[in-house]
Amino acid sequence: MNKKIIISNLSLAFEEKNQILFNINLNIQDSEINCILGPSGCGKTTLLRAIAGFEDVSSGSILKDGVCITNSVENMPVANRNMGMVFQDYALFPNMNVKTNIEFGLKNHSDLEKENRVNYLLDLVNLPEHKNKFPHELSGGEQQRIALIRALAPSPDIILMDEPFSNIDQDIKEELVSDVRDLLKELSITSIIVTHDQNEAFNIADQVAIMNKGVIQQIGTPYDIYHKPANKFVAGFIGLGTFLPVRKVNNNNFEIPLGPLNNERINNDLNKFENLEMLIRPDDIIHNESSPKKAVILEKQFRGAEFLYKLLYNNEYSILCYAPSHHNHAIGDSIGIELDIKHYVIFER
Amino acid sequence: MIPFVYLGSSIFFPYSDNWQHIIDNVLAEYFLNSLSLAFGVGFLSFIFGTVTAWLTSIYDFPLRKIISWLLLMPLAMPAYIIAITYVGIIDNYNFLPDIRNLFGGIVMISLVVYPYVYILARGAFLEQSKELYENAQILGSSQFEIFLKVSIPMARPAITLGVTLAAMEALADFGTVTFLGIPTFTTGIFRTWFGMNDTITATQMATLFLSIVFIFVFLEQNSRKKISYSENIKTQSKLNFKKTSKKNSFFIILICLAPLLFGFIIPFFQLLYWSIFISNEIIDQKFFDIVKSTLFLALIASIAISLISILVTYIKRLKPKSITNKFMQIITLGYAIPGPVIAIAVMIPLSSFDNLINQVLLDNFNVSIGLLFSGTIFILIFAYCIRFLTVSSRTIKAGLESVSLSTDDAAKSLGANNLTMFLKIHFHLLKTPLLISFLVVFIDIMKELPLTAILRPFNFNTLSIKAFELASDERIADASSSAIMIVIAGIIPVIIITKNILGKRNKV
Repeated sequence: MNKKIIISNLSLAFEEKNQILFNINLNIQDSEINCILGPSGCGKTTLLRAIAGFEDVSSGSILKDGVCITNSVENMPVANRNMGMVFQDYALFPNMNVKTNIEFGLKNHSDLEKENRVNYLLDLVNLPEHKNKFPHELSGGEQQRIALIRALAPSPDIILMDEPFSNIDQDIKEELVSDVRDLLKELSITSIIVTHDQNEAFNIADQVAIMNKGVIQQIGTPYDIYHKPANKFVAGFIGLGTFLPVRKVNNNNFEIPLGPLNNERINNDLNKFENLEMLIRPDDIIHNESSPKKAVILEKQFRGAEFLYKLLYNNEYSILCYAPSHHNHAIGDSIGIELDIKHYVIFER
Repeated sequence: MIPFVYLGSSIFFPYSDNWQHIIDNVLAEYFLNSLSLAFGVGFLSFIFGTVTAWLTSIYDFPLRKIISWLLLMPLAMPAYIIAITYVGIIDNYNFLPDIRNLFGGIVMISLVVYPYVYILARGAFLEQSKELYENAQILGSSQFEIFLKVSIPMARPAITLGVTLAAMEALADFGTVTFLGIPTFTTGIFRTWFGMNDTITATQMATLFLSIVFIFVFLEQNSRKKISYSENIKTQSKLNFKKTSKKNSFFIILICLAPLLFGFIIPFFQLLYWSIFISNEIIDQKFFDIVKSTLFLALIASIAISLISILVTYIKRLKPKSITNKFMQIITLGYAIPGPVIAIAVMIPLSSFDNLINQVLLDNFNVSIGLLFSGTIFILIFAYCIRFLTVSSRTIKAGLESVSLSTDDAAKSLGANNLTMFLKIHFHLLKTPLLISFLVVFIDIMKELPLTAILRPFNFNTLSIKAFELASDERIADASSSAIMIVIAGIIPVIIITKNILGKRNKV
């Protein structure tokens, strides 16, 4: 796979004491959908703006197709980068209708070419009837799609999106996210999407980069990020879970309160560490009435198809557990549980 | 910038003996009067402005629409003209209290500047969310409590701005205080300059005064920084106007009519009456020439100022940290600076510059071109720019701020440069604020008195000067024809502005 964008050792500070990005190294694969995921204020939008050329960097570089577009000395003008960008508030020009908004970036095109391009793009997102409307006459989802095709109109080779779904109502969000994914895949355009919503990232991305406090924490597929978090931040930020202490039984043999660990699934040599703990996801715990291991229900959350129970095991360890929704137990009840875990995620405490 | 450097450097000039006299006898009085005037006007306009704004934005009563835009009409009335009119009225009816004192000055100025507070407060009240208001009702607040505890605090940034504008107008006032015989800093500077013929002392006084104004402005800007309420709540729905009983409607109309009546209707019709029936002033070619030159001057200057404002605000948007920006912050303080102070600040550097050019030309080519800058309307326009750039640039800045910054980024990412971006997007979105700022400056220049009086070229007359000169000669009725022209010319832009603002509100 080709590397479309190579970001090396990138740091960015707005003022002396206000450093936003720390030594970012990130490769963006050609024709893939990349997500930068992190809590708000982690610097993800700044990173995106640096890629777009809106921010000057303090050190490091950004290469696009092998050509340096940003380093601490030079910053290729935004307009020359051939990148399209979709903004959080869509930034549609309020004084222009949909058609003129889309045409804005089309230069050196004849009127006929423009017309064709606009029609083609509107068809792509199934909004041909909105051609002559003004932004304020469109719903949030429609504005978002117009913003996307406006960015696509000049045929950029990379599309950047800053929290593109954050202003979309929950009930249409999932559908829109998958529509956008289909569209980006159909055009096989390299995309970088910034978001704070992990479900969104998991639904849309081929590769996810997790960021916190201006530092990249982990880069990987959504599956790997969830099941093999690289550090405690990622483990805590992505999905639900609790930590259980890992105890050394004897050399090379370890156990957690719920039972012994299978040595084949342990990747590192745990002998040299002390104070270890293991991530237990709610899907790692199975509710089984016949199990001799009992835990007391502390809290419960009804989620339709299932219950999420917060349990206390051995009067000491809190764990989470999904149970099918017909297993309706009361708070305070004691239920049988079993450990069923494939990926061991163990960190030093 | 040069004018300000000149003012600043004046503290290093030798101090003349006149200072002793000024400090001993008049400085405290100037200081006290200016300050009382500013605070008095600020307070009164706050009361007039917020109460009327609240009533017209909450209650539905007969004539609400018409009253809510009529309340802006006093803007068309310059303070010195209303003062002239009332002095004329009082001279005719002896039982009325004399207004030729500080209190009178405060009332006169407040009556015509309260619309600043009114318009800003009303805008803020109308923007306030229905949810917020209803919430307060559910929590058991009465109408009045909501007004005091929710609406006013929420609208504080807007109200503070309005009150500051009103107070600055009072601080910078020259015509009214001169006419009513209230010794303030402004008149003091003028008197020292022309009465004592002591330019340096006048300049130093101007500098002293300016430092006080700067502190004032600085405090206001700082206070606004702290209280920037998040207005991100986008789902808010606008408040419906509340129905009210006939009796209450009557009182509301009465309250709203009071400032309107005293600030516009009475003086307007009095002036109209005088100009038609009493005035000896003949409407002849000479009078029309004055009208023409007034309009010409106002037109040229307001175009120049609007263009500079666009440039200034645009630079600010593109390069928020540039030095030009810092410098412009100082320049745009001009609104708070009284005419005579600006007059000194431009007159002296420009005339020495003129003399220099003249000398050089005389030495080298043996020609004299006279006073190229300081003797022509160039100096007037230059001075107007300093004085009115604040008004103009604030309006344009507010307009530009409503365009989100990501719009700029979007345009740039689609390959637009700054000029295309301005012409294709910003200009269209700025049409209304541009028109408003142009008109506001236009009226202001027509009304402007001290700068025009001091800096005008020889034999150049405007309506405001004419009105003031005649009134000062106790020919108040004769002054009325010029005065009424200014007022009528001022009404037109006010109507256009209100139409524009109200029209927009209805659309939303």
